[in-house]
Amino acid sequence: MHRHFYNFISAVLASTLLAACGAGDKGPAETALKGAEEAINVAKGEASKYFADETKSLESALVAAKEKFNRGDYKAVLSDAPALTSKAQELASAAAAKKAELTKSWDGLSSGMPRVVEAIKSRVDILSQSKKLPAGMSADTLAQARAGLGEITQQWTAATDASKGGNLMDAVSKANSAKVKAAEVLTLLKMPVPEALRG
Amino acid sequence: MSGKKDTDPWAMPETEEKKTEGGGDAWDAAQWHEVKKGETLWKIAEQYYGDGALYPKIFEANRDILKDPDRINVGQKLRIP
Repeated sequence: MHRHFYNFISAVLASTLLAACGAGDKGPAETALKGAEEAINVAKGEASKYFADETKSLESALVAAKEKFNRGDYKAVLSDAPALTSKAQELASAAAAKKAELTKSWDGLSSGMPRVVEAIKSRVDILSQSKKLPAGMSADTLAQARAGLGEITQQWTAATDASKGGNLMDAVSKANSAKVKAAEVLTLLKMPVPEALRG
Repeated sequence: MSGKKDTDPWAMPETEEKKTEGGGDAWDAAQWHEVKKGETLWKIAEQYYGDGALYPKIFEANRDILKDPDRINVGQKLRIP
């Protein structure tokens, strides 16, 4: 009889102790979770522009950590949250580096491309006035160059619109397409291809 | 000027230009022609445009070094627009 009673008391004490330990983790778990959420909120603005998948993954991990917290699994939250904070900080740094790289690319493109296109436009305009095209150039070649100039202009307009809209990734991508086309058109026109357009 | 930048997709921002390893402008798409003995602007226009009658285009593009379209000198470097 006494043995049963002591066993019962031991079981009650053990479960109370476990509950007390778990409850003790709640505060630190909540703090860690808030820290992770803040770090993710700080990072996601820029990070989502350049690393969309990684940002979504981080947000999903935060949702999972919150669910663990709501279930009372504070130990798991204490284990997961610091890693989330650390990943968010790494993502923020990577996004800042990517933005700097794209800004540099865009500055070069937006400074150089208008001059390249002006040279192409000038040559197409002059050749369009020519009664006879130079050796090795057919009317078809000139027509291709003229069409290419139209494409470049469209691509560049889209690139500048993307830049004005704050989408540097898209701006640089579209500007690079315009750059490739410009190199093709310069070759068609037998004009030198500037170093920035090669490779 | 700033108004032009908003509407002109080819407006150039004030940024440092990319240089080649030799210090040249990596974006320079200008075509140059060095005058050889016996050449005239007419002949040069024929070479690049197929039509000698378009020589005034070259003359106008090089007004900083040419005063008379009938007078060009061997070794002069002309920009071909």
